[in-house]
Amino acid sequence: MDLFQSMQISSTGLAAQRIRMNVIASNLANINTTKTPEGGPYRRKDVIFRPNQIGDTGGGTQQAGGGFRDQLDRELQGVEVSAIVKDQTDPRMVYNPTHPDADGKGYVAMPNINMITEMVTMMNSQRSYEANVTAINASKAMINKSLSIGR
Amino acid sequence: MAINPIQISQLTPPLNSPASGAGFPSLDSLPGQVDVDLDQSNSFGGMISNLLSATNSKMTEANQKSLEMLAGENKNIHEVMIALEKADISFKFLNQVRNKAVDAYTEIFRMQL
Repeated sequence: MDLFQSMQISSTGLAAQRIRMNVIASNLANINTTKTPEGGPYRRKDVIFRPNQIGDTGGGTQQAGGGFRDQLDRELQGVEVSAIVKDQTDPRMVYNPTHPDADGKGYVAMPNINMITEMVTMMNSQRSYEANVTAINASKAMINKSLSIGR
Repeated sequence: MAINPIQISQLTPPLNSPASGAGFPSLDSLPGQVDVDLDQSNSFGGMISNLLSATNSKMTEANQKSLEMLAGENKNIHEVMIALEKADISFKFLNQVRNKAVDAYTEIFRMQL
């Protein structure tokens, strides 16, 4: 439905930011995790976004259509998370000989997570979410305005 | 929610029908006998019923999503809220169309004969 297309797009943005927020929460929760099943400390995770087609016209006949509306529908893109990747920077080495995971020299490999970076990323994610909500509210206000035409 | 324009030719009989020698339409093609097929989606009744079923499905979807949310199955609260908004807007639109139709009806009802 054309009327709700912008809401659909903003909805994909909201879903993507929620996933990003989950990843940040995971990073913050594991800031002191020194041992993982894969071996070594927990590694910081990050999300990668990519656009996805919103106006799913379905079928090659529509794709071949040269009308302006068809073109416009093909240009509309939402967002989705394409991958959650591990940050490959080196772990932080902390001297703590009493720790069970300490190496021969007494150093413990701590996760490569910087709490300040995570907090800033979290605020970024939060603001992006708010921006998408604002976009939804704006399109709703526009529709409601057009419903009051002639009143 | 595609609204097909009502074709003028559906509502009025063709003026140049064979029996209209004096410029009047013949009895065969009086407005009362124009067969408006209610099943066709491009008639007004068909449009209204399409609108009704679209609004109804939006409301059912919103209801379903709220129930899933409350049961803890749906993890995305924004999807529920957007479904509710869609149902709200669809219903408001349907209500406006209904108001306009009733207005037109009362206007015709008050017509002097």
